[in-house]
Amino acid sequence: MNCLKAVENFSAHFEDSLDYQTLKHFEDHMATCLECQREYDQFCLSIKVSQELPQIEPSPAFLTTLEHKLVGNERESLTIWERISRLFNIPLFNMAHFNMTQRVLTGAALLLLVAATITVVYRDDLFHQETQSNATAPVITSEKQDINRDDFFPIGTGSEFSSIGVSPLMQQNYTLKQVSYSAVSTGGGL
Amino acid sequence: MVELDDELMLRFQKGDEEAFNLLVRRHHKPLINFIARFTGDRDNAEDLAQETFIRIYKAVDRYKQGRAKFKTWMYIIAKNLCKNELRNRSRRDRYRVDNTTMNQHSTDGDSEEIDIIASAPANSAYQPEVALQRKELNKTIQDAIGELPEQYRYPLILRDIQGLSYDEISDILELRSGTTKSRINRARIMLKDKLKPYMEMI
Repeated sequence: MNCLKAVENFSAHFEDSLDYQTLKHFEDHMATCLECQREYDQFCLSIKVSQELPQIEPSPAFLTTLEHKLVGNERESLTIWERISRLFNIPLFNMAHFNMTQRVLTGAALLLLVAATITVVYRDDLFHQETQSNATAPVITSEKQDINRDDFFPIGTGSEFSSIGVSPLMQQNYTLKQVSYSAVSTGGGL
Repeated sequence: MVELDDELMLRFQKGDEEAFNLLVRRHHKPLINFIARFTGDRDNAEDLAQETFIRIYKAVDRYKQGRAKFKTWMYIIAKNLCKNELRNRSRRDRYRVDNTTMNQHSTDGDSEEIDIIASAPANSAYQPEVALQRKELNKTIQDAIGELPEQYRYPLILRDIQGLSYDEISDILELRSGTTKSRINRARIMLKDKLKPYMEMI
């Protein structure tokens, strides 16, 4: 054992908590190193004097003053989460009590949870968009149909009405009338 | 038979105010000692100790048996109050520009230190010279402890002055057991180095 290692073990030796092997190495080193011996003696002495510091006595009015101060205070009630955690014996989330591994794992789990939530919300949003686009589909279809009808019936078939806000149903009615009219006129004259 | 702190807290949670009084009477002296040794200010230590008990009183329903010992909980609250107090004090000192006030403050600090020592029981040192020497030595030790960085001062006081176990200190300071042990060893070495010039006096 070298001097640095010996100094690291000062407290453990002072408190008699060194294992047998380390104790043997420590004592072997101390037996040969005068500097460490002197340092260790001073170390023990400084602990002894700090342990012997007298306890500070409170003033006689301490308890009375505390009683007066307590008069205006009320016990705080528990939050809902605290009540739930107590009811189901769930430990409250306190990162301060976690070691580094637990903190990393908790952080990763939280990130996953946030990511999952965002995904669900986003997918829900997409679903809504799809539903809305399905709802508008008949208009597109009718426009297409109008275009087709324009090809077959070039005379005022109503595609021009879509630009001024006429409903597809009205357009359809109008087209049907046109059809019947053209059928009559062509059947008679030509 | 002496009731455990946990049992007293349970009684207090059920509304027995006397249980809280018992807890205060049991723990107020070591608590004041801890705060005074840490902040080096006896008068303020009493205020902070009272504030600690007020917080315990208000938050009693949050205390859960088995999760932390009452003593550990009490020291955690006191430690946080001490931390705030020291932060506020350094802020106050930073903005205090009047030299006269500064001098007055440092004199007050000295008198507080002396108050701490003066409040101590006289022990067996009835001879005035021995008592004076002891007072000076106590002041030197208190100053040396006060000069330690906070992260070393807490564990040293909790271990060597308050006599808490390593596990309790680890819980209070939220440190791993190994870190607590190494900090205490380091703090003791630092204290020894600071007291080196006074070793003959000791």
